This record gives sequence, C-alpha cells and structure tokens, in this order.
Amino acid sequence: MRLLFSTLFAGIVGLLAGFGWQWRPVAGPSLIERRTELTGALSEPAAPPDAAERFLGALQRKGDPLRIEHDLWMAVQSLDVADLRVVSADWAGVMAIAERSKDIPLNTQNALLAAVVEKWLTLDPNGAMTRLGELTTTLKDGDYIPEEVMAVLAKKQPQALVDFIIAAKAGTRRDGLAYQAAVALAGQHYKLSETLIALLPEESRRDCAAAADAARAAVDPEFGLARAAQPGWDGNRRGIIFSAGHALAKRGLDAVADALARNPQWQKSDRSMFLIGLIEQNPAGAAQLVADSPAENWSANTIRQVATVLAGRDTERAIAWAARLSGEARAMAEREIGVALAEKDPASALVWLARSSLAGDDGPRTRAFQQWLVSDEPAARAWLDLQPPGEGASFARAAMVRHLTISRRADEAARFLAPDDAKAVRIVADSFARADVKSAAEWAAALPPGTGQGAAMQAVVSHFANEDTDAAEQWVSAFPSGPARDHAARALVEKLRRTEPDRAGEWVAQIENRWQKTRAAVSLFDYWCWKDRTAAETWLRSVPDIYEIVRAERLSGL
Amino acid sequence: MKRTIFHAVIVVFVGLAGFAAGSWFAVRKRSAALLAAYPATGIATPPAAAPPVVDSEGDSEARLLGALRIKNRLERSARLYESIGSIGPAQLHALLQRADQFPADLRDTLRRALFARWLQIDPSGAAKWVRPFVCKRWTTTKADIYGDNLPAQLTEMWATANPAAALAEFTKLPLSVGGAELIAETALKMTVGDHAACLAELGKIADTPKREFALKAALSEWAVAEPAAAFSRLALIHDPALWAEAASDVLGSWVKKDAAAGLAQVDVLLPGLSPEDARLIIGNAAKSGGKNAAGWALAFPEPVRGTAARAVFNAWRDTQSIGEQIAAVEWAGRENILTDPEDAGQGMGYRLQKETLDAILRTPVGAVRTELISQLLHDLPLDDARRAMDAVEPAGRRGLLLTFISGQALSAPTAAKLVETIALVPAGPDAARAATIVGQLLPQRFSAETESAIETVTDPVLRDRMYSAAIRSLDRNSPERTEATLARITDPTQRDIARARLIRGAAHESPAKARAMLESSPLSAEWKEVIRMEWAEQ
Repeated sequence: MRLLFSTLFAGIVGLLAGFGWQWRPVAGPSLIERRTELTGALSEPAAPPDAAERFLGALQRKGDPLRIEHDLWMAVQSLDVADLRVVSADWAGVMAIAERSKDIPLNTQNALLAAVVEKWLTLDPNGAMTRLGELTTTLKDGDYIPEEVMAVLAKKQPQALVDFIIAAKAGTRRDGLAYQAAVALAGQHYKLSETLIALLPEESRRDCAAAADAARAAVDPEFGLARAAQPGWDGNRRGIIFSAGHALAKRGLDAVADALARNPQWQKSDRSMFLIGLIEQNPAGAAQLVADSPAENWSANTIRQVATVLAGRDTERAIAWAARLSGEARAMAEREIGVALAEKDPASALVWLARSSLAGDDGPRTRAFQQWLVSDEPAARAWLDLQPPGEGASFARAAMVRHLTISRRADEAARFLAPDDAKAVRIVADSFARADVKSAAEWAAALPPGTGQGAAMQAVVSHFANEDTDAAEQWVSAFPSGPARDHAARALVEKLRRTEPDRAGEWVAQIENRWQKTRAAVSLFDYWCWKDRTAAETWLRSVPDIYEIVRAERLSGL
Repeated sequence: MKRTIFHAVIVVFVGLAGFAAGSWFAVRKRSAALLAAYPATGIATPPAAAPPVVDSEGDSEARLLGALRIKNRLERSARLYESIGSIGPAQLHALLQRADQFPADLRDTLRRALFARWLQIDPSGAAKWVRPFVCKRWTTTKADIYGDNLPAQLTEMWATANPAAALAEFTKLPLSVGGAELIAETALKMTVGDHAACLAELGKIADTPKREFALKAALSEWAVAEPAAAFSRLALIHDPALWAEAASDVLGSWVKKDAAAGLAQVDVLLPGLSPEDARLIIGNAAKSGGKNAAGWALAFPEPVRGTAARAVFNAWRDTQSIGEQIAAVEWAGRENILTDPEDAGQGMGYRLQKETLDAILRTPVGAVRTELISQLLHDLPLDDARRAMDAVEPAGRRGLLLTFISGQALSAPTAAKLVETIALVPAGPDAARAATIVGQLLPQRFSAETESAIETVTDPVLRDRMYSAAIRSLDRNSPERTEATLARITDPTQRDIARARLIRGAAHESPAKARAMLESSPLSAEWKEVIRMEWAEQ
C-alpha cells in the first residue's frame, strides 16, 4: 500500500515537475501587435514575452521579406545562453519555429540557421561545438549542413571544426562533412582545408580539391590563375577561372584586362567564365573589353550576358555598344537588348527592333509584342490595328492569336487567324478541341484545304482519340486522301503507338505525303525502341517511301 | 533491504517516467498553442507606417548604402529596415535610379528595401512603379519561382500591404495560370485567410475564364487543409477541362490527407468522367496516395492501370526509406507494373537505392526487373552493376549497358578514362551507341582534350560517331576548325549527320544564321528539304 502510494506520488510529482519544466504560457501576437502600434517603433518592436514568440511573430511577416529578416535578426540577437542549452531550451518553441519556418524562402531559412549558430558560438563556443557535433551524427547519408552554417563554423571555429571531423566515425557521413568543411575553409585556412581533403576517399578527393581551389581563388585570384595554368581537369579549371574573375573584377577593369592579356592560351569558354564577374560588377567595362578585341575571342554566352546586364542598366549605352559589333555577335547582342527594352517599353522596343540588324527576325519582335499584350493589351491591339495588312506585322498577328487563345478567347483569335499559318491554327485548334472536341472537328473539316487545315486536324484528332479512339479512327477514315488526312493519320499514330502498335503501323502505311509518313514512322520507331530496339530497327528498315537520310540517322542512334 | 532498494528504484523510475511524460505533454501542448497563436496565414495588414526619423538626407543615404555592404544577410536586412524609415519621397526616386547601377544582388536588395518604404509613404506611387515587375511575375507559376526572385517578391509585398488595390489591378491583366494563383492568394489575404469568403470575393470577377482559373487556384489551395470543403465547392467551376484539373488537385490533396476517404470519392466521381479526365484524376490520386493507393490502382484496366501503378510506385519509392523501397520493388515485381515506357518519364527525380538490388534480383526476369535495375544502375559499384546487367534478358541488357556507360563516363576522371568506357561494351552497334554517348560527354567535361582523345580511338566507325556527337561543342569552342574536324569523319553519312547537327543547333540560337548555313552547306538537296520541313513544323 505504501509502495503504491509512493509510486503514485512520485509519478504525479514527476509529471507536474516535467510539465512545469517545459510549460510556458503563450502570450499571442495580438499583444505584440498592440505594443508595436503603441510605441510606433518599426525598428525596435516591443519585446514579446519569450524568444519563441519573437521568432514566430517574425515568421508571420509574410510578404515583407525585409521585415521578416529584420525581426528574425532581432530575435536571434535577443537569445541568451539559457535559450541554447538542452536543459533550459524551449523545445516546444523549437518545434513550432521549425514548423513555421517551412513557409519562408530557403535562403532566409539558411540565413536564420547560420545566425543562430553564430550567436551560439559567440555565447557558448564549447557548448555549441559539442552540441553541433552530436547533432551532425544524426545526419543521414546525403544530408548536408547549409553552406551558410558551414561558413560560420569555418569562420568562428576553424580548428575545432577540423578536430571534430577528424574525430568523427569514418564513413560517408564524415566524408560529406569533410568535403563541405574543406571548401568552406579553403579561402582563409587552406592548410586546414588540405587536412580535410586528405581524409576523403580517393574518388572524391579530386572533386573536393577542385572545389576548394575555386573557393581559394575567390580570395586569392593570383593563386587561381596560377592553378588554372596547370594542366588538369577542365571542370576544375573553369571553376577556378570563374572565382578568380569575380575576385579580380572587384579590383577593377585593369586587373581583369591584365589577367586576360597574360592568358592568351585560354579558350573562349575560359574567357567567358572569367568575364562573368566583371559583367556583373562593371558591365560597361566588360562591354569595352569585348568590343576592343576580336569577336572570335568571345563566346555567344559572353555577348548575351554583356548585352543583358548593360541593357538593364543603360539601354542607350548597350545599343551603342552593339552597333560596334558585327555579324552574328551584333545580332545576338541586339536580341538581348530587345528583350531588356521590351520589359521597360515594348512599343519602343518594336520600333527599335524593326530598325536593328534583327529586322528580318520575327522572334525578338514577337517577344516584345507578347510582353506588350501582357502589360497593356488595348495599346498593343491599337498598334496592331494601325499596321498595314501583309507580312510586315504577321508576327504580331500570330502573337495575338496565341494570346487570345490562351486567354480563352478563341472566337476573337479567329479574327486574326491566317488559314495558312499552321502554327497559329494548331494552337487555336488545340484550345478549341480541349473545350469541345466535336465542334472543333467540324470546324477543322470546314477549313480550306492546306497546311493550316492539316495542323488543325492533327490537333483535333489528338484530343478526339483521347476521348474515343475508335470514333476518331472512323472520322479520319472517312476523310478524302490529302494533306488533312495525312496529318490526322499522323496524330492517330501518336495515340495508338502505345496501346496498339500494329494499328499504328497500318496508319503509317496509309499516309501518302512522304514527310508526314517519315515523321509518323519515326514516332512509332522511337517508342518501339524503348521496348525492343532490334525489332524496331527491323521494322523501320522495311517502311517504304520515307526519307532515307532520316532513316539512316535514326538507325545510327543519334 | 533488497526489497527496499527495489521499491525505491520503482518509485524513482515512475517519477522519472512521470517527468518525461509531463515534459512531453507540456511541449506538445505549448507547441500547439504557439502554432495556433501564430497561424501560417501570417499577418495580412502591415503595422502603421513609421513616423519619419529626423535625419539629414546624407546621413540616411549613407546608413542605407552602408547597410548594403554587410555580408550577413539577416543583419543586412535588419540595418536596411532601420535605415529606410528616414528615407523621404525625393530620396526614394534618386536611390532607385542609383540601384540600377549596382550588381544584381545589391540592386535587388535595395529595390526591395526602397519599395517597402514606398508602400508606407506613397502606396499609389509604389503601385505604379511595381507594375512592370507584376507583369513579369504574371506569366510565372508559383512552382517555377526559386530563390530571390525580385518580381515575385515585390508583387507579394504589394499584395500583402494592399490586397484590395493589388487584386483590382491583377484582375485587369490577361489570363494566365501564374496570374490566377496570384489573384487567389491576394483574395485570401484580403479575406484574412477565410477560404469561403475568398471564393465569394473571386466570384465577383466579371471575366469568366479569369474567375474560373482563380477559383481553381483557390480551391486547390484550400484543399490542402480542408479537402472535403473544397470538393463541395467544385461546382463553382463550369469549364469542363478546368473542372477536371481542379477536381484532380482537390482529390489529390484529399487522398494525401486521408487515402481511404479520398480514393472512395474518386470512385464515386469516375463513372461520369471522360476517359481523359478520368486518367488525369486517377493518376494524381495514385501519386498522392502512394502505397496506400496500391491495391486501388491495380483494379483499373490497362493502360490506366499501368499509369496509376507507376504513379504509386514512384511515390512509394520517393519516400527514400530503404525498407519502403524494397516493399515497392517487391510489389512492382509481383504485380508486373512499370512495363510501359510511355510513363517512364514520370517522377525521374529520385532513384532506387543500391540496397534494393537483392530485392530487384528476386523479381521475375523481364521488363519490370530491367526497369528497376535502370533506376539504380548509376549508383552501383562496378561488380554489382555487372551482376545486375547479367541478370536481365538480352533485349533489356542493351539499354542498360548504355545507361551504365553514361554513368561511368560522367565519373571518369580523365579524357582517356572516359574514352576507355567504350570498351566496356562489346563491339558492334552497341559500341557505336556508346561512342556517341562518350562523344557527347567529352567536350562537356574535357573540352581542350576532346580531339586528341578521339584520335586515340582506332576503330574508324567509333571515331566517326564520336566526332559527329561532339561536333556542336567543338564548333562552339573553335569554329575556325570545324571544317577540318568534319573532314576527319570518314563515313559520308556520318559527316552529313554531323553537318545537320551543326545547322539544327545553330537554329536554336539564330534562325537567320541557320538558314544561311543551310543554303551554303554541301548537304544534299534531300537533307536540306528535311531540315526545312523540320523548321516549318516547329
């Protein structure tokens, strides 16, 4: 009896003590809000009752990234040692914060974690390293510590970080940590980084050394340039060149130009990587470097990047720079400038593109017009109404058809539709068939014969066969031979190749047009290859009246 | 004495157990209370604007620009937030123009900060400035936005600060999926997280397609928390295709939350659906249910059974637990699923882990085993990979071999080692395909050594294939040597294929340039005709 009483008593006391240890009342956000309003202080929000609520209050500031990060920073700064110790920590708060943190961007999540770790390392470095060491043992293979957190550990406790990894149990988890830490330490503590690289298994040592070299080059570009000059793995060299380029760009245009002059052996792709930093820091300088040297020195990517960044900052200057280029380089640059200009002022972009070297290329003008349709459809339509009929504004009419079709205004789209514009007809037909396949079929059948009708048939049959394959086949069979029937048959092959490959093969045989037949045959062949390449190859060799070069290319496996 | 000690141990043990239970109970209770007090919906209305801090223009600007130099992201945001309170309207415009000249990350950080301030002191001016960013965000869906996407963030900031004004503006923009999501989110902000009120608000949109797209987005969002409630409002959508998509989303969420109830609801709905809509809804329900939908998925006739079973398998596999993956493998073998390549593209993100190999080798020899092996071949050590490939039928081995070569080639440390991987394949057509794979990878990994590495290959057929596969990358790096490289291809057919690759590749960058290349190319008239017809179809 006494034992029962004692046990019961101990249990209840334990229960209450445990509850009391972890329980803290929740004040709620209304109090915080009221206090904030009363004080009117944005930079110094009133102190809520405890740390967890400060974090949770901050995490509620969705839609205001600056405020959320400000409040999180303030919450981190208010942490004290007790908040970070196992026995005194608020585990309920930690759980709630972890739950709510899922909703904020990953960058902010990682920055928050790094800030907490940094605060912890400041308040209680030994405790923090011990606890973090224990926590990392719970990592699964493939898990990693966020880069931001590793950077804090490498900055605040480099030696302790290395010691802890050396002491950890060998295995893939330790290898992963050693890899990350070696890269994080490489910039400022290269020797420590090398110690960790030596711990790694041979197959990942090379990769890690490459990443560490790139990190070191970001701090010491001369080291990077020297290392890049050594023969070695390309991926390594490019990463190092990229980092060195970024670091030198911060020193200025002359430093970058000097490094380029000292490395005439670099390929275009090397120069392209090297210049990325300067393009970001000083696009006008990068543009000058590009324009002052032979065009074959620079890759298409470099031209595009310079044009995009420079046009984003100073369109007039970008246009003047592009005019100094020639041939394909100029066209590439003007295409990017057109995109940037269209974002700011699509109407001006259209005028400029018509006068640029891209006057014969519809792509950039189409993009500009699409942009205009999104930002100001009435103005774009008014512009189009003023254009004379004919080829001049056909790109805009096609863009208008797409825009109206996507906006579920197919009837309006038809007003702008040219029956021989197969692409536009296909888009409208697809949208039409999606909503009402029977009516779309009637509409497609009534279109004037030609490529437009063929494209419409293809889109309609594709939807029709999804609804009822037999009915779709009957409908196509009843069609007179010609382009429309061939297109429709090709769509049937696409649908039947999965469930009834033999029937798909029969439809291939019925196609009269050589090109349509070739495409249909290739479609069936590609699918068949998944299942049985040998049989598929045998069949493709036997199909008559298709383009021999397409057959040869397919059979060669490219 | 012993008994007393025993009793004491029991008392202490029960006391400790009580302590642990009490702590656990308190943690659960407090955590739930905290989450209830700080709901995920967040704060829709920002606090009142801060009174301007008395500060000279130069000081506030210097503080703001100084804050930009802070490397720690949270600290930088905190200092920026504190600095913007003293920025006046005139300074705002000047600073925004200055921001244009900064590198992208600093420019965007400053734009965010200044826009936050602008929203406080001049909401309508801020709304005008943000419009181009909203237009840019408009055609992007939520799922496609990663990292610090400025248009998305500015749009969200505006919608949070002033949901009514933002909603009015959003509904004037053209229809888009991303835009509809934004409209739904903003209406929810306006109604402070009340989903039913949000639907009522969206019901006021006059343009029918815009209204229905927004309702679909709102119902999909609501279904995550309350699928039954969202399901009961599906009739608000009248467009049949859109209704099917909404039903698929809502039921998918329902199945995820409560598989039995959700799948039962799918079964009730199916008889009235078109085959296309049924496939959509079944596929999504199977994916959401994972292993809980395994038996249900198998009850359908082919090809729906195959699609649904693949979706179940992928979801089951993607739990990434080895035990669950083994169970999924055993189920796939038993039920003979994963045989249709049409579905193979689904859920390619994850793979089976190497510990499942033995379970895979216990499945019957056939297409299922081959498919399962292809999902883990990349991660297997050489000996296990050979064992796995030896355990499949010859028709399947060929495809696996090439998958294997790709994996080996991707990890080869040098160009020479990469070329050596071709020797892992027996001579013949498969070796030629392996050479093509290696030819594609060589310039991506060892661009400077590509040609010298290809020249080490003695078989002219393989060498031709490698040059042909590498030609585009080689041309990008050194266009002046392209003709010489083409001349090294001994087989005229392969040389033509390589030329065609160059022209087709150029078309992606510049159609005009590609057209000119085609016209001046020595390719046959038939080749030119084929390429022109390909372009006409694109």
